[in-house]
Amino acid sequence: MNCKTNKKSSFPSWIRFRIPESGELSKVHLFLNDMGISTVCKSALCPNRLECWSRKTATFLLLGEVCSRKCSFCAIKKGTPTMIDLQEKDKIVKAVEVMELQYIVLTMVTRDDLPDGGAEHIAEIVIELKNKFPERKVEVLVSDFQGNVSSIKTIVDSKPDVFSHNVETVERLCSQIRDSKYSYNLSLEVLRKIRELSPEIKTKSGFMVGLGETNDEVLQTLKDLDNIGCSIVTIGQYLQPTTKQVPVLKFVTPEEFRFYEDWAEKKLSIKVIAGPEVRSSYHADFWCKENEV
Amino acid sequence: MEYFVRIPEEAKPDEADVKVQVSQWLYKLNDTVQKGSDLVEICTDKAAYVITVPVSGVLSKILIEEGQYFSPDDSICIIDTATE
Repeated sequence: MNCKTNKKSSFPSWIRFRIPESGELSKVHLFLNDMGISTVCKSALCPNRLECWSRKTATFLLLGEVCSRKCSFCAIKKGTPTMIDLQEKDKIVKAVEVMELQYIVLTMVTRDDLPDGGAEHIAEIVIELKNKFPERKVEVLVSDFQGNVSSIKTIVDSKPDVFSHNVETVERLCSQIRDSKYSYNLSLEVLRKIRELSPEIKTKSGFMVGLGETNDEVLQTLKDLDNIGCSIVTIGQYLQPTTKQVPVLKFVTPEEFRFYEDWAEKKLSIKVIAGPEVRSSYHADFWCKENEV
Repeated sequence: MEYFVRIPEEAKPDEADVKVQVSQWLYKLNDTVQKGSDLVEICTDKAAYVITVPVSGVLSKILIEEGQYFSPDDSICIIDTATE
C-alpha cells in the first residue's frame, strides 16, 4: 500500500491539528460507539473532533447518518435515509448525563422524506433535555425544512436556547456547493422566521470560506445575516474531507479571518466568530457564554 | 521493550479508503523521545495532524518514511522503551 511520493504536507502551518493523548478522548469515543450514538464530528470527519472529545463535548447527529440531499462539500453519507431510531431521545439523555455536558448541540441530516422533515423528533429531544436538565443550554443546528413554517415553529416551540441554520457559503456559490433544493434566500428566510416566531431565541448561522468567494461576497453575506437579525455567525475554512468532495480553492489566513471579526464588530450588530479551525458548533459553549445565551 | 506506534483508535478516519500520508517526522532515528511531545505530522485529504509520543524511549525504527502513504491500521514507527 505504501506508494512513495515526495509530497510533503500541502497544508499551511495553521491547518494542523494536534491529536491529544488518549484519556477522555478514548472514553468518549468508546462510549459513543457502545451507545450507537452518531456525532457530526465523526460523520463529517471534523478535524476538531479530537480536541472537542478531549474536552468532553460532541455534537449529536440526529435522524440517522444518511442525508437526503447531496451537497458537494459534505462528507456525510448521501442516499435513502434510514428508519428513525425511536430510542434516540433516551440515548442522547444518557450521553448528556454520562458526558456531563453543560452545553448540548443537536444537529441532523436533512430528511426530505419525512413530512415534517424530522422537526417533531428533534423537538421531542429538546423538550426532554430541557425538562431533565433545566439549567443546561441546548443549541439546535437544523436543515431548512424546505421552508415549512410549521416545522420551524415545532422546533421554536420546544424552546432551544440557540436556533442555528447555516447558509454554508456566499450567495453566488450556493448552487455550486449545496444541493439544488437549498437556496441562499430560503436559508435567510428560515432565520428571519425564527426571529419572528420567537425574538428571545438567539439565532446563529455559519458559512465556509476557501471555496472561491471574494472578500466583498463574504462581507455581503455578513450584512445579509445582520439585516435579518441573526445573533451569531461562524466563519471557518472549508477543508475537503476526501477527494470525492469539491477542492479547496484557497487557504484563508488567520489575519483575514481576524479582519472579518473586526469588520463585523465595527460595522454590524452580529457577533462573528471566525478562524481556520472554526466550525458551526466549535466551542459553542464558550461563545454562547460570552454572548450571554 | 518495543512499542509499535499507530494512529490512536479514536483518531482514525472513518472511511477505510481515506489515504493517510506521513508528511514530516519531527524526530530523527535514534533520538530520545519524550511522552507527550510532537512525534510526526501526518495528513489526510482534509488536514494535517500531529501525533504525539505515546511512551518515552528511543525512536528505534521508522516504518513509514516521509511522503509514504499508509493504512490507518499500520504501525508507523517503533519506540524502544528499554533503552530510555
